[in-house]
Amino acid sequence: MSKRVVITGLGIVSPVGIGREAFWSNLTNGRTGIKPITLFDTSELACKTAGEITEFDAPAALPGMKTGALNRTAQLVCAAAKLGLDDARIELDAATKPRIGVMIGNTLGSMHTASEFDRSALKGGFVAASPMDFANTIAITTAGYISVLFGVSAFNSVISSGELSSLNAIEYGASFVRSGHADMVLAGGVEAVSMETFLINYLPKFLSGSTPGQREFCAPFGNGRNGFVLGEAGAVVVLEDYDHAIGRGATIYAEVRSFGTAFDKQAFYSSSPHSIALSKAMTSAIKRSGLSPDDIDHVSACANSSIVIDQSEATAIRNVFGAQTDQLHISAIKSMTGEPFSASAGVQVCAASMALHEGVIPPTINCDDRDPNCDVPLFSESREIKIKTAIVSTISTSGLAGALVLGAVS
Amino acid sequence: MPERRVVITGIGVVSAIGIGKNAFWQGLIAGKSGISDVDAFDTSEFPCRRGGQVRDFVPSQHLSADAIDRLAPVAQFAVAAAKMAVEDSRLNGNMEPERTSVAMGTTNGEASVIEKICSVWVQEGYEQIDPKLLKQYPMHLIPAHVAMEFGAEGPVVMMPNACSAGNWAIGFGSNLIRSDEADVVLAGGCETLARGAFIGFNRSFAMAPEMCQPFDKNRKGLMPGEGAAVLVLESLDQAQRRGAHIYAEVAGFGVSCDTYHITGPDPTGRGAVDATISALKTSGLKPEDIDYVSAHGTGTKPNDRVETLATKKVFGDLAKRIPMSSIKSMIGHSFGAASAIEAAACALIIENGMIPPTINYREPDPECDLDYVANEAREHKVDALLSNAYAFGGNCAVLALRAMR
Repeated sequence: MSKRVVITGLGIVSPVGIGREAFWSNLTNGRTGIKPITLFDTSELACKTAGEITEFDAPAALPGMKTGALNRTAQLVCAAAKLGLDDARIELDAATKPRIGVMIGNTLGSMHTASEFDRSALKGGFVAASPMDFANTIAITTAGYISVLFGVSAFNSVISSGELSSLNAIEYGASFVRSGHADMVLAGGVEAVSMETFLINYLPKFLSGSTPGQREFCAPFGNGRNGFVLGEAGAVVVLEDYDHAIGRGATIYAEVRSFGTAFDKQAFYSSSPHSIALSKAMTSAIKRSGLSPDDIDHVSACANSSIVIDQSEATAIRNVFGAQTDQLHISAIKSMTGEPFSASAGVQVCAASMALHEGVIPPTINCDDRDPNCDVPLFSESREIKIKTAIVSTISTSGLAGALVLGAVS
Repeated sequence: MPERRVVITGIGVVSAIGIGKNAFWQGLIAGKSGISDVDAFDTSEFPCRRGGQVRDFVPSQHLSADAIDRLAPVAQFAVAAAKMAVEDSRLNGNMEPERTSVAMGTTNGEASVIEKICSVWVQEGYEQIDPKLLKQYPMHLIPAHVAMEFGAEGPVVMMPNACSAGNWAIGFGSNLIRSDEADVVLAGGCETLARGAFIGFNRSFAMAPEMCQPFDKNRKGLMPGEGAAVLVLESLDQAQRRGAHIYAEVAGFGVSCDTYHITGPDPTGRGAVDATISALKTSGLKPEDIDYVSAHGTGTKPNDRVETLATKKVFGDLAKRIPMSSIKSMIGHSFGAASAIEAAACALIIENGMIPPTINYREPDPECDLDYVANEAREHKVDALLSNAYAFGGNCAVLALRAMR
């Protein structure tokens, strides 16, 4: 009999709040984290807002630890890991540390430092590049810093699949708990706002307001939306063997039930909507958990105000849930966080775990004026309702899609 | 239900000593050096400027004109290696889309793309950066390109675990087959020579000026390299049903990590020891079953000393009797591709009963006192082996392969 994997800690550093409580309070009150960018100069740019984490202070978030050598990506993910460990009330000692692994979803974490490193060398010769920064130019150190700072040593790894990264990290991380290689895994994702991660979306005109004459706004499933708003986050959940969690009297937020994923090559950077991969991923995830679509109460949507992604997701939800769609409680929390890319599904998993645990479902903001092509029910004020099962839905512009079913544990 | 077994049924390699399985293997057993003065970018300012540059890769021999236009260099290596592997497996046309997956490894993906972006940024301003270049950069697009080429519709991931990435991709892929998520996984690693690596390793004095000399007393550092390898991983059931040629079985995958330092190994070899023990445990192999160890063997002082120590800690008195060589002496350290290329070599070692040497080995180091198969290939029957890979972040991943029977 395979081990059950549950979520016993939620570590979140996000534009709508740092720490589980602030995050949840702001999310359920519909407070946006999208604000003017301060991390770089936007005076010459058409887009000026992002889901930026403005109140983040690395030395305060990681007391007693050497954070100076870490770039922003590493700082955000380590702070999220610490919040997750604290929330799960895990004592780090000689017995627990070798039994805790690290699996982090990330795609662009090294881009900013790698670019700065190279640009310094181009301007001032290779001696101008700081050897201190070298580690930060290598993607694996995003997970490596968690092992080094907290001494957890079952394994560390990064996994990259764009917007799906955190779901792949949680699923693969959970496999190490199921096989008994680890008791707990710090799993999730991270992505930081930087000039580089901004440009990669701004110059190809993926961002809202990047085409002259467009208004800059974030309205998932909304009428007249014209692109997404960039975000950033570190979201790390503590995955734990159910018996281990019960044994130590841990708070269980949710159970990781099952994962489904699919790739559709027709959808690779497609400019037209594509619902096949997500439909397959959701159907497969629901089937593997032994449930039917009628059993799903809540969908944490990936809709981010992009024309193609939102319509694809709305269509996939209709495909999978049919008439039941109108009974679903659907939230598009990127209306408040922006798009934190590889961290996005990790943030959704945190929100969906809280929804299951607290019996409150966060709203979608800016959804009053709806795109008729996105025919899914939304609500603009949070709902109090006890639910049993949630699904986290994700589509990547690369043609990948994924879905994770989470269940309440009573 | 017994756990599904995983076998290797196809090999594709792009390396500095040869393109394709056969040229690569001939180079390995001949002890051929693929090291030369690097001219992939301007190296004039660097004190150390040699590396394992791939020189005879002709994209048009592997890729369509359209693919050459769309794909950046690392993706070209990856797709070419995958095509060679699938051709070698004779699977082409017989891969069920939903049961086929892709897992690749890399350091950061398209290094030359970020370097072009930076050059334009510095010389002309960021406004002039070509959006097409930016759209090629995200590293998860590399396995997506491989998936598109073969119509794979199952899980598609990149494992950017740098110097141990290839082993992680193979470990991830094997797990998919064992847990019945897939029947075929194209798993491997890919990397191109990066200016960033030259800057970083020259700045940290970890790069060798002339040649890579793993385990030699006078070793001076690593030698950057590039390349790609893709293995066709397949469920044993399916491979037997279709009468496939089986190179070896993926017996186990062991992981752990150091918590000592973000770039340097734990001097006690703790993570390496634990990963090795875990590889033995997951494969059901005992230390005395191991006939060969494919060393991480980068040629840096700390790596080779710690790897030797860790091997002795696990194998005790047996350690000196187990041949352990580093093919990085021939092709350099191809980082995100390295352990995938080494896994390809390992499958061929089991197939051919021959061990490639550690070349450039001249003077024994008292701290590195194992059998490194110095300078000459050796005939040796190998039924089971381990392949070591360690990376920044203290990451340690060890693959166990065994002969199929």
